[in-house]
Amino acid sequence: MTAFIQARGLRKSFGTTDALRGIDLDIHRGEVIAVMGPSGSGKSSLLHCLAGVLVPDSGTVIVDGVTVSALNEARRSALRLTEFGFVFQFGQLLPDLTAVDNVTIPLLLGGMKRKQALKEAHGWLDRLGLEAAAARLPGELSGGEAQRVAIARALVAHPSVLFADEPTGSLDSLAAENVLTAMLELVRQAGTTLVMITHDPRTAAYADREIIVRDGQLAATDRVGIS
Amino acid sequence: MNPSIVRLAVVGSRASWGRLLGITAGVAVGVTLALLLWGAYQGLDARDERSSWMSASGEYVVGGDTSQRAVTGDMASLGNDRVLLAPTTDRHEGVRISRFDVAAPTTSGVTIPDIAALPQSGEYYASPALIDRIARVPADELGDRFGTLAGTISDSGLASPDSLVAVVGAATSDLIERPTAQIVTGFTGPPYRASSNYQTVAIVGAIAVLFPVLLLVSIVTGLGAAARRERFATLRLIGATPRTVAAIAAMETAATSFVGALIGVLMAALLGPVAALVRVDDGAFFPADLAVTPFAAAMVVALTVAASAATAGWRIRRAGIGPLGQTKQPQEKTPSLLRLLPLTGGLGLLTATTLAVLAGLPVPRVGTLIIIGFTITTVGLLVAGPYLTLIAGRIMARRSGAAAGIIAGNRIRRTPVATFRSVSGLVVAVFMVSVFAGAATTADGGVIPVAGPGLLPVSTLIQYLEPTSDAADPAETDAELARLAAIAGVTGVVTVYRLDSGPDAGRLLLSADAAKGLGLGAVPSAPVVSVNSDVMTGATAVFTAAEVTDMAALTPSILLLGTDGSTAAIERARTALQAGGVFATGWAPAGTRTDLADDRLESMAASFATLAYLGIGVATVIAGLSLAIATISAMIDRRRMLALLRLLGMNFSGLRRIITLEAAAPLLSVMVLSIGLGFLVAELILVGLTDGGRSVGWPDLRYLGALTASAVLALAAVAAAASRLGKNTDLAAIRYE
Repeated sequence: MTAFIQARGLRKSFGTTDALRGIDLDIHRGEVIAVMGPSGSGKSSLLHCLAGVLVPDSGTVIVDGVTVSALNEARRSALRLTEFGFVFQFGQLLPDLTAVDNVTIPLLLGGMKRKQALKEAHGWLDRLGLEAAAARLPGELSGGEAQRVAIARALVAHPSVLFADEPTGSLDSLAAENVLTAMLELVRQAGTTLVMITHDPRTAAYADREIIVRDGQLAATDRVGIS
Repeated sequence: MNPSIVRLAVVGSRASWGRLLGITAGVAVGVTLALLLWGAYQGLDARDERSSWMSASGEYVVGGDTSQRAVTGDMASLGNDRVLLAPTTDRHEGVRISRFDVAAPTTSGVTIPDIAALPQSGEYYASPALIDRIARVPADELGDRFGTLAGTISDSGLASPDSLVAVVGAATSDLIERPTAQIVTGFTGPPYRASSNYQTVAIVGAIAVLFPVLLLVSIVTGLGAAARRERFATLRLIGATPRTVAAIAAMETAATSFVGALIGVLMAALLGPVAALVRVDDGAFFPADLAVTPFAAAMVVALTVAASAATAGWRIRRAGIGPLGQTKQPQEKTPSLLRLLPLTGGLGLLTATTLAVLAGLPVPRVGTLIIIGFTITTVGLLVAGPYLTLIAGRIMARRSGAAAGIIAGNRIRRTPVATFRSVSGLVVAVFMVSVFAGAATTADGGVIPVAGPGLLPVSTLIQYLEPTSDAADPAETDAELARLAAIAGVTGVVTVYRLDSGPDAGRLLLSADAAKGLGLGAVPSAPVVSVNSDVMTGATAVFTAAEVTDMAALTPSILLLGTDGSTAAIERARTALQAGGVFATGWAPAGTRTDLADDRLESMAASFATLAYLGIGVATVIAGLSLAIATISAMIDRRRMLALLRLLGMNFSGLRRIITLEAAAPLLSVMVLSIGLGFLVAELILVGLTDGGRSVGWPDLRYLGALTASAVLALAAVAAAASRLGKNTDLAAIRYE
């Protein structure tokens, strides 16, 4: 079976530092991948290259048959809008917008009418237990609530792939558990591919597969099988 | 405090250096302009002082001096303590020449401060610019008007190096006939142009430019605020007290402001001679006019450094930076309706002053009240701006259906004060443009009449004559008319009469043949016809048959000299009229309709217009610069948010739309108010200063030009910011910043 995401010979340097040194990776549709490794090992660079945020110095990234690494910025923007969703550790909500307005942004960028976008956004917030927080600003949300709003925003446009960079890294264990289970439940229901960076083995244990990056190379890849 | 900590905190990175350079440059520009502005204001005063002798006036002699010391045609009747003076405004190639005809005995003790001795009949003193001009053109076009050059009027007696001034010696018997002749005992009048109105206008102009300058300094000293807050949070984490970080912020700003201010002083000194070339009213400045004293420069430097340092320290204290930084976004206090109070108060003061003046109530210090009212209104506009911006943001956030509009609207709604600050310079500039353009419209008489059917050609010289002309010998008058008609380029000479009574009272009479020669339309078949008198100021001629059939007994009122339209012909005719003597006794030398319209412009309104467009130009450029800096600064401070939007799939055009909307919404919402308020304030100022004598009309094309320039600058500022979007929305910023 052809992989949904194929990375071949990925190399990326920042100045004299080699962040990625020839990575080959296949990820299948609907798969949940945990990317682990020590700080500075190249995890985020790998994720950014896969998502078209960074352009690799050499090598290719193909997502669903489209060579992402060969696209220009406008095409990559369009791809991020329609196919990818992102969740980060913290500070990813637009501070001037309410929770519900934050969730509508991908829909509005996709051309949806505001009224319909608001309806969809409220639906997602409801599914994540955040309806009461819909009118609140990010500064008025707890860390867990903010992450769940970010998840709603990442998934509202039904992306094929969700990229998550330490999505629970800034949360306490209880909040982290809640956020993680919510995110996994939603991606599993939708059949969304999840590529998630984490330092936490317990978080990685939720993945279908765990890959370890060390010194810019894949050190290991293990099927963990918890779902 | 350990200097090393300060150094590391202030210039710890390349970005810090960029920020400090930006602050230094901005302060340098602000101080340069402030010093040039101060210099210009002083320069206007210096010009007035130097040319004060030109406003000498005394007792008019026309109508007969019945005192015991009556002046006669005999020069000796003046004695040694009196001079007969006849000031007029002459013209050459459209430029005004201030001419002072004087008659005084050689033994006269009366002197003009900047002239070696009063010229005797047939001699004249002239300013260097006039001497150059006389040397440049044939004598029969200019030089013959004056006689023999006796000397130069020194710079210390001239408003400007471009001033065209002549002091011409004359015989008492000639001058005594002139309607402008007056007896003066000295040439030490009040400052030539320094009426209280003029001072008011000058102060208002200075305020107009100073506001954007202060805003520029305020904006540049806030550059990189977000990055700075992060650095200070780190200092707090390692043990610095709030007082310490505030002190570091103040020291940082003081040091950069000091360097910027010193550069500003240097630039002002270097640019002074260039700025002196700017023509205001009478012409350019002498470079020394714009020089500010070392004490004044030191004051500007000290004030700039102290104010910017205190503001920087206050901003950091107010930001409440803790060891963990600002985990919550700094919230602005939502502007309330109360912000409209100062604006209402300023307008109220202006309105009350104007109404009191119109009602004839004794209002002390009208000019001062107007300056206060104007200043409060201007400040009120700045105070009200954030409230209006908030309203605009709310509407945009609610009504917009696009992501860019919702993001921009909500950002404006959350930070109306910061949003408005970035456009406030342009808002003030547009307000000032409207005030001055409105005030300048009072010079409506200055609209140059166009050529057309029934209109007196602008190539025709008009010489208004005085009743004393009838004293001339008819034969001599005829000879003079023939001489004028024979001048190369003169196409006809027409004598025009005026009746004060009868059915043709107030209308102008001329022979039907002469009327036909003027080519102004249908002329009735009658020996003498009458025409409406305002034909001289641009109205269409309407001829009717006159009851009078013989004009021999009438007194000539106007002499019209048709020319071929060439400058040389017009100036030859004008020179011949003055040199001839018979027709040189009017209030003013001959002029075309264009010249006469320009004379009407020589008024307070002209001062308004000149200062206005100079100040507006400077203010608009500074404001555009401020907007560009503020927009770029805001973009750098929010690059993480903008990068996040890129990550979500928003392309650069979407980001540009956000930046544009954030600038456009407050600009448009407050701009419309600025324009309306500007004209209202102009009306109140004009009516107040002139006791209702003048009011605002429609602005001319310069106003539209100024508005267009403001819009172009705003677009350029936003475009400049947008051009840096790629550099400042690096997607890696999302994770690493």
